[in-house]
Amino acid sequence: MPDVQIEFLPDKLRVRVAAGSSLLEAAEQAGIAFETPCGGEGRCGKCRVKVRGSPPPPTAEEIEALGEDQVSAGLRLACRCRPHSDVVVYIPPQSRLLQQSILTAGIARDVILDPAVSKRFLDLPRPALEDQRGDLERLLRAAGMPHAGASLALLRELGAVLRAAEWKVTSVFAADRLIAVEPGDTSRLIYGIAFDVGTTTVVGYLLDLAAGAQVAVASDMNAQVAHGEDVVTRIQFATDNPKGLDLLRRDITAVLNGIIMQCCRSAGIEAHHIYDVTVVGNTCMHHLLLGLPPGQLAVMPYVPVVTAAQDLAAAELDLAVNPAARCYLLPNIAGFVGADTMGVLLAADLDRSDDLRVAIDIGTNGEVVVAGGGRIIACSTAAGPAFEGATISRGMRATSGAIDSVTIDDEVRFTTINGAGARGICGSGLIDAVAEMRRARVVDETGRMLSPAHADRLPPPLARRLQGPPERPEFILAWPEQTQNGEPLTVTARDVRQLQLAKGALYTGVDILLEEMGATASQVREILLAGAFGNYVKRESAVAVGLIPALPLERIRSIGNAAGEGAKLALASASARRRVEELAARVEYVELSACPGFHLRFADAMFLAPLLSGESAASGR
Amino acid sequence: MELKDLADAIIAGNRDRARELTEQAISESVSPQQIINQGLIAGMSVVGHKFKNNEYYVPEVLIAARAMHASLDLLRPMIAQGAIEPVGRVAIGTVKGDLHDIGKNLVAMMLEGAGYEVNDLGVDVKPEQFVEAVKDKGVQIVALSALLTTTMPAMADIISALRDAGVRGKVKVMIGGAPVTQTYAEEIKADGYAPDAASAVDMAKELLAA
Repeated sequence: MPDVQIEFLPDKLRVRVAAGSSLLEAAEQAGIAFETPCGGEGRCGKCRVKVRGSPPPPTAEEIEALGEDQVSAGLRLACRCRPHSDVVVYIPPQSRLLQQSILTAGIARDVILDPAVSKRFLDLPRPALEDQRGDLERLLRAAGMPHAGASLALLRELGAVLRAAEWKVTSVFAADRLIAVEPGDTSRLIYGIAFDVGTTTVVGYLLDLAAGAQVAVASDMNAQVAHGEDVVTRIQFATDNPKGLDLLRRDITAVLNGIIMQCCRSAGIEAHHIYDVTVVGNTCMHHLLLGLPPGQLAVMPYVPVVTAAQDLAAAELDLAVNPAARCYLLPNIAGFVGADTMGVLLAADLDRSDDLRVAIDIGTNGEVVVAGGGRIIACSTAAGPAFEGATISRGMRATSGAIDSVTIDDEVRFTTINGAGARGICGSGLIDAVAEMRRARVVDETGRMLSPAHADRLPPPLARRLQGPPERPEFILAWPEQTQNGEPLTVTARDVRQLQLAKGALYTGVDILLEEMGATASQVREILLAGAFGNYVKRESAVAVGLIPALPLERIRSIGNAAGEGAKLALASASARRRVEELAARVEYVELSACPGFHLRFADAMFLAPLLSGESAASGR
Repeated sequence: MELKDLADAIIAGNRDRARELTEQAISESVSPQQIINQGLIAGMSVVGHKFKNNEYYVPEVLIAARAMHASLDLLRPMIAQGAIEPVGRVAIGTVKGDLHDIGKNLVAMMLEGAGYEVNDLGVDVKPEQFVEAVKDKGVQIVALSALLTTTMPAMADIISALRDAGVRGKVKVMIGGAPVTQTYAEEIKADGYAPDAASAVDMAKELLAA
């Protein structure tokens, strides 16, 4: 197969690939990452590039996604374009996969430090004729753990370590197992790391388990997004490709190890002082990390391979921590409600009172948990990736340049993450935008955007923002001088629809669970908004668009990255693990797609208005 | 009253108004068949047309269908009494699993809005259930939906089951769903493929006319 040379701009990177390789494949080789929420299938149009010179003829998908004009100007989709001659390719900034700003501060709380791993410095009496005990027995007795077990590998090293250290050693125990023996006194050097493995973003928290404090936090994109933005696409990838599952597992492992390194550097410690790891993630993420075939998660009745909590050797997961370190994964509930929801439950103490409380994870899976009167029920609403920027025309994840809040009074005002020029709009920005556009009557409660032909119904500063043909209006949020690429940044009629669908799913999930609980929304004591995203959205906007039941604002609270907080609790406290395991056994899972009339209630939840128990609180509709 | 107003209420997704107008029509002794044809079917047909042109999106279709349902609910007692003849009888289901996808339900709604009697067999439907629907309910169209490439082969199984039961010639089979294509429909010898809910209504009409 002859080679072709692909040059990528503005990076000025050149690669040689076999003719007929896609530009996406070539970019991968060059180390350039693209936005590919659809997994490179030519469906989302996000990987657009401009090919200079003579690009190959466009494919049907490219014409569909980009339009004739753009295609004649040399625009192509990196995943579909397969050149047979040398080309120069310009990659616009919005097609690139960028780091995102991830919420890492969760709810702080005091917890009694009782980690699963512990270290103790021992100054052991030397063996003598009067004391001929074995090395292990000597050590265990001194440590007060006479019945602990030790692995064969450890036994092989034990004698040499003890003697070289002249019987002054630090023992490391994980529950009732001796996992390591270190020369000298290293008892102050005991760390653990808690991970929240999200579909889109991964966060790691490094805890000093001797001092009981968080000493570092780091986050990264879940590299698996290169093979699909949502869990179903990834499951499909794993099932369709013989190497798929392994690739996905290695992707996430590399991310975790990268975060470990970052945390260590930040805290000034060595990775081999990390003896314990805890992990929360949705069931699919959990399975991919463990290398469990995920196919069954996507097929009725969506059963996981395992729901019980896992207590493993970190080495089995190729984690770059102490070789003897342990790893604890919180339990799952069902195919789509996983350990991360258990983390939320744990952190939010949802079970601690009989009050009716609701926790919502605003993300792609959209898990909802309702607790009250001793019962805990959960579901996954599969809200879709609109909250994380996908399927929105100028949508993006919460990273630098994303519009993250919007106000419309006499004019449109917005803020962007890091104050950078606007590059796109993230979930919280979109919810604000739609809420404000509702208030300004640019959008009606059925989600219809005003036609530009009727723009005179709006005050002039807003009227001139309404553009486009009557059947396909769009509203300009940011003028060209406010954006990074010099083009106006708009919210289209279609974007509003995508948000309606996503928020409708979440709302319906809450509604159905409350009904299952035999309660009404007005009886809810508190709604807790969780998720990396939850902290940024204005409660008023969430209520205004009908994302959550229209409760008084003081009953709505943002609890940040509660799943991660739960992972930290499990790291800091072994009794928290017992508690979450007990809790998991009590959670009842509700399969929404099996609820008759789901789609009718879903239709009820479409309205962009404060909603209570599915009825529009606005005009009688 | 004017049935055109009822059609408009449905197009606008105004459920309360649709109910009001339906009640009025019934009280004025307008025939149920007429109410359905000139009110419901007329309204939903415009909705389907706009959906195909990307003027209406899924939420609007859902809101319109909601209004249509409210009207249909008032007419149901009369349908039961045999006062209304359906345009056709359809059995629809997702062949294996259903990942909260509203596609199939949208097709069911649009077919109902076009005057079809729709037996929604739900999700994870076994071949025997479709065979039964053909034999016992006089279903003329079997509509199959699949959401993953791994579940698509179940469509071929259903066609075989219909053949084995000796009823393949009595029904038309149409298929749809995210991974499904026209090519696949030809491969498994289905009678038709529709890429979305609005086209599904057109396809049903075509299949019955054939």
